[in-house]
Amino acid sequence: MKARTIVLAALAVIVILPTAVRADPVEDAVKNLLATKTGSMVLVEFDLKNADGTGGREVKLQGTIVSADGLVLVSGAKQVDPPVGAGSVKPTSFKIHFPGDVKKDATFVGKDEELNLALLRINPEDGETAKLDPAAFDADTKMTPGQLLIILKRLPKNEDDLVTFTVTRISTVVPKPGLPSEYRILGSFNGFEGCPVFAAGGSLVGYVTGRQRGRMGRGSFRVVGGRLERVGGGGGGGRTRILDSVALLDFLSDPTKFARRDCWLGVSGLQALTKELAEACGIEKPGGLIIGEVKKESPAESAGFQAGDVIVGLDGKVIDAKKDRDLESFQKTVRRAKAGESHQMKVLRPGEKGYREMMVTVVFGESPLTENEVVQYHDKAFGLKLKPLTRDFLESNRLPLDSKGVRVTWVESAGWASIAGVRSGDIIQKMVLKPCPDMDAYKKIMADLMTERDAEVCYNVLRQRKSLFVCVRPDWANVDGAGK
Amino acid sequence: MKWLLGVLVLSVGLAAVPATWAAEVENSLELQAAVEAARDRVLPCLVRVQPISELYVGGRKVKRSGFGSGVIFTHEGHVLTNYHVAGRAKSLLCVMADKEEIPATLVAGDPWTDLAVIKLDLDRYKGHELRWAVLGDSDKLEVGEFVIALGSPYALTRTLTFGVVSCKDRSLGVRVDLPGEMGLQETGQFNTWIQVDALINPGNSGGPLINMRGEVVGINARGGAGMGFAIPMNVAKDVARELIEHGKVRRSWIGVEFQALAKFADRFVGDAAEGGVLVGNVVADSPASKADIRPGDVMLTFDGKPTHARFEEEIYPIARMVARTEIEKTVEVTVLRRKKHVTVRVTTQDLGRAVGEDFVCEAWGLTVKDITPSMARMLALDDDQGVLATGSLSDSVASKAKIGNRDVIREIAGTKIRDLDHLKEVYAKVTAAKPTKVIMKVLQGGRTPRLLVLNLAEAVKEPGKSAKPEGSEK
Repeated sequence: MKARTIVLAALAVIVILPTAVRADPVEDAVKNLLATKTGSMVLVEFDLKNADGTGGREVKLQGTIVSADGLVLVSGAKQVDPPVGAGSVKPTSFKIHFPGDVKKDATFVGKDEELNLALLRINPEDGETAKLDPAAFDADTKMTPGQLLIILKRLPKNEDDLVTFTVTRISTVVPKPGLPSEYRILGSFNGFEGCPVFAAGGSLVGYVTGRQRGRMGRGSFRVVGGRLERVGGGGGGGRTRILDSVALLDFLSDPTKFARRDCWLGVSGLQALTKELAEACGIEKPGGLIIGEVKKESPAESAGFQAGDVIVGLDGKVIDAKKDRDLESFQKTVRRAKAGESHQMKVLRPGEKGYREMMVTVVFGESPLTENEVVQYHDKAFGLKLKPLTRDFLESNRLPLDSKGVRVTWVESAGWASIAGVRSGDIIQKMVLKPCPDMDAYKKIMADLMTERDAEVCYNVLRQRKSLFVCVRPDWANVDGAGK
Repeated sequence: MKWLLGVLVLSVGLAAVPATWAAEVENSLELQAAVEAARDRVLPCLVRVQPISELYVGGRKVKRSGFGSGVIFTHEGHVLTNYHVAGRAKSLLCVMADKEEIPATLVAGDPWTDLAVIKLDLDRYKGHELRWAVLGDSDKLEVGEFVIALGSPYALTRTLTFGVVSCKDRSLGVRVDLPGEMGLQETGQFNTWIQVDALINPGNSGGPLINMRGEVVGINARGGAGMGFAIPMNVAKDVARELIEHGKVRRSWIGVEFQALAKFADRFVGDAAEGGVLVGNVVADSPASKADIRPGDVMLTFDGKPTHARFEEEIYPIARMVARTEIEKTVEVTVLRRKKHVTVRVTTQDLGRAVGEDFVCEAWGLTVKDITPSMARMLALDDDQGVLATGSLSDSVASKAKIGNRDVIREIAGTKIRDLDHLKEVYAKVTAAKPTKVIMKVLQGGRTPRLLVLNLAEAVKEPGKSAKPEGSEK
């Protein structure tokens, strides 16, 4: 009996003791993070429609609240603000999805395609009431190869506000000239773009900015002669990129740097000078970019470019685009250029005696405001959301660049504007016979109307390039915010 | 005594019931007799129309056969039908009410009202004596009036449906596209519709809507969801006369779109005047725009005639009045602008065709369409220069060069293309010269300029591939 008691006690010590000793620090760290650090994690939702009007899809990205006044950091610059010609319509509205199924509207602020980052701002009218819990980036804790990291991710199906995590280690630190270093981690984590990266101690040390597909698939591997060789199938693979908190804080501390505007040249219908086109045009060598159209009031127009010119050099560098996929490199160079600096472009210009070579000096300008960058105004009294007219919008709708008005982006069902017959997409040019050239004029007219409580509210709108009058006699007693 | 009184009352009641029933039967028999009488006046004039049309789609010319209805309205064998039935027909076969089949030819069509006139080849008619229908006065129709629709729904000949006029001047209030015209041709800007509950199905199109006097009061054109819509006969009579006499309907255009004034009267007119019609849109570079007529003006008179459209239905007669003004006539127009009278002089212009002619560039496997000013406006093009690509054959020169549907061809081999006739000329020259490559400048989707290369060397080689070389036959 005594011996049995001793054996059992010994067994208990053997079982209990190691359990106590082997308490998992990673598990504790994860529990701690899940309990305290998920408040800044949101989902950013928007529709990405195809430029040709077909299909489209709903996009959900991980977002991080980075300031108490509603700035939201999101990874996926090209989805949030697709470059012109990328085949997608620039999204016009974003929803920030908080835990508890709370949604707030947000507006695009800026992007950096190189770092794959975009910044949104929760609309002030909503931002005031939102209880924000911004993430605190820790620039003091450095990331080093081999370091253990915990990445948290909000599950896209947000019904239960679930947060998942992954544990990994830094594999490589890649210095990037002129840009922040890139940190790569062990493993390839799909869908973790935009997720915060924590050190085991709980400090926020980085942010996942992207995942690149590698040539090496997952599959099975073995070491042969000191080299890794794939022996099994599998796809995907690649590497996950992380930007450290130092770089993030650097950008966030200088919004102008973060919201750095792309440069533009102001040409459209760029086309690579393929072998076939070169032959047909009588140009000796293929390689170059044919300008389809020079946009009005653009740097290209000021520089004297003409439709049909073939760009074959930029600042001494040969533009050797032989296929349309080579366009991207030139477009990227222009986008990343510094506004105001002059550049020399070598051009082949068509004439009666064939093409002649010439040099053109061009000063790249800052690209015009996009649809996403202009602030949307919500007229709650008449149930409208409006945006100022942008060059982007006017060009894509074949409207004169000097068009005046405000564009309706949303009409509340059964709101007074909707009852009048105003539709999303209309451009309001006049209200109650007063010109409404911009948002300030609209607000002024509305303010007067709310005081005067005029019997009829008539809008002169431009719909599909045609002028049209729509009118409503509102029941002023039921107009929100109408003056007494 | 009370029981005697009860028996008396009961007897009287029993006698009264059969009397009412008999009266109702009598009434319905009278109605039936009236329907049959009306039927007998028009049914012999009904024809089933089978058009064989040529369509230019997908890079080639194809023949299509359809079916519809029509009504004979002259002793010469003219048949009134819909433009969307017979307006593009190359040949026509008609089945008469006596089941005899005879050919017919297209006289002319008017897409703006969706009407067409065809003429029966009476020399080939071996049936009964020809009958033609009496055309009635559609303005005299009343809501609730009995009407009969005759036609060939789903090609089922000699079908009669019966109903009432549900609305005599329906404005559909939306853009109505003419079927088969790629959304480039509107219809119904010059007429309201007679809405009926007599069943109108596919194949009824072009058939007559008749009143109980056996007069044709409308041409059935559209139907669905238990509602049918017919073009009023007073509009159709005018159109038919023009089509027979001139081969087209001559219409003027000033480039104004009108809106009814009801909702805006206080704002635009106030106490300044009675009547008028609101100018909603003024087309750029149109006669109205040149005369400085502006959106928001209220047009009070046109060519000395007062205009009044307080409600939407009243716009159509004004549109018709403007259209029926002599082409290139300078008229005085009085408008109310900021409650002051302003008189301007407008010179009308030919409305012209909405949709351009088609052509197939067979060697390239490409179909194209002429661009009319109306199409240029609809497609938001800067001008009407060039031609519109409407399709390419798979594996053809055009499809390999990636010419897309709705691309605008602006230049071929360095020659700027003005219109379809010019394209035909350039196409003939280019194909005769047999070059291996031709460069073409297009506006993709009517917008983005792009250079395309037609690789004609392949087209030349293609036949050679399938044909064996001469030497191998031996």
